[in-house]
Amino acid sequence: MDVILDGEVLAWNTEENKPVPFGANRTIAEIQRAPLHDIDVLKESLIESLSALSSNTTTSIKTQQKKHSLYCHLTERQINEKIKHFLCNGWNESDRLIQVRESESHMHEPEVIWVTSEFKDIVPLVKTSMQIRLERHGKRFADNLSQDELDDIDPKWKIFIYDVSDNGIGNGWLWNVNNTISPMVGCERINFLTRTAQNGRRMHYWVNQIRSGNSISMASASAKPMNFTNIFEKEKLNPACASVQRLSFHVREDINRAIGDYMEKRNSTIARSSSSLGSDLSYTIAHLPIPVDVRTFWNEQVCNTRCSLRNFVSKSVLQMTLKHPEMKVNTDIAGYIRGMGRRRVHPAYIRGMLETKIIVLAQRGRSVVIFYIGHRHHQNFDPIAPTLLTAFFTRAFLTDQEFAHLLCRQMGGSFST
Amino acid sequence: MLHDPQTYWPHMMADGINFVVYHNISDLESKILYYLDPMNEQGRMTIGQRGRELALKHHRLWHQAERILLNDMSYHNDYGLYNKPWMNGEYSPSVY
Repeated sequence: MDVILDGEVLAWNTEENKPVPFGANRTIAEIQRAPLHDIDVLKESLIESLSALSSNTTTSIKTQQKKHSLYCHLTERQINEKIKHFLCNGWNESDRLIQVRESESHMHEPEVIWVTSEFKDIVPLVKTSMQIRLERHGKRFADNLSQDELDDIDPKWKIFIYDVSDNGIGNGWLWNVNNTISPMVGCERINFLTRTAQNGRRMHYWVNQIRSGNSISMASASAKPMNFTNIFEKEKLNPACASVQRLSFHVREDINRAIGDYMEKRNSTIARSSSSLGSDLSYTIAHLPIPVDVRTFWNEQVCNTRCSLRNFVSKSVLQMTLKHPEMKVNTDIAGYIRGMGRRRVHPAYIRGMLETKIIVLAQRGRSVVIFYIGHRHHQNFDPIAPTLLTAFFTRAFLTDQEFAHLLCRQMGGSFST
Repeated sequence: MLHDPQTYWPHMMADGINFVVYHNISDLESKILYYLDPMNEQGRMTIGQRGRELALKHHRLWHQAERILLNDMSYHNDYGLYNKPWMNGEYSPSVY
């Protein structure tokens, strides 16, 4: 006898003619184990070793379940120019994702997830990887595998393609994927990521109505989110590919670091004693001396395209000082604007945020024309997230209702995009 | 303040809890005055503090990456992977 597994086995009480209650079985097991001790068959040290092994195995399995390998693809241009790094930024902080490098053969392992925001650049890499995977399964491209057969090759190898453009998914991405990547690797592994987008927004109309003295609710000019997956299915544009998922707004790590740096310079004692993630620093920031009451970070001098609502709100806030001269309002730009603000964080912007009690946000509004595959859609389509996003609520934010989610977005310089 | 069902916020954001929504210009003005009132200063700072903590605990890029890449169904809805406050007007912030 090598091993006795001593556990809660079902036992029958012959006297009472019913099962022995759970837990009471231990007594029976003990009785059965005693004779084995007597004849030196059972070694307690062996049982302890097995228990330890079992415990370690459980922990190990738990750890493995939590970790998923991820390959985040950046082009040389993205790396050299330090653009769109947000795609791969900070993932090493995750407890559940492990990032692998392109040079590592590990990226071709069956369960590694791929993410990219560049379509053309990834195609040859996908082809090479599929070749490796096919060979592993004893197959070749020349075998002319069906889509189902391709999907069956390393089905956990998922590819996420992130369209970072303002319009969300469109502009030929699906066409490209359906005609280049899908024929090589199948469609089920392909997923699209897009930024948040709404349609039907008419905030400029709302502003015009209010200026004309008409009463119209802001909600009526608001919009609703777009369901890209449904649109593609309805339009028969998404015959085989997987889902289209939306990324929501996320913290921009460079702004996070800039706030930490600001706090360190301002009061190194405070910064040293507080974690950048902890509530201590949030409390400290919330209780900083604040000279400015309200800020908008934009005005009509700098925002002149599709800025009806934004400028209307900014002007309204500024005009409050006529009734309330004690109010300290600032509608100036702080730091970089537009493209530069997407890539770098100006200290003046951080200072502006942290020295203001209330930051008022308002959206821009516009209608654009979207091009899908062979289709042209005219609709009120509003890119909600025209810039990189970040989330910092260092102050109480007041937002218009549709634009509220954009409080998660603060550019490195301003809100002017 | 009422939640607009056509509007969607990042996950767990709640009006009056970790940010504030205005519904028109007069509403904006009155809320600015309300939160600048020294009597409401603590409330204003608490909202700002909660907002920052929410952002850092739930809205960093890798949080989203985990939700999407690992297909966290608790974040799914009819509009893709996201929170679900605008669905049927239901929303109950689970953190605060």
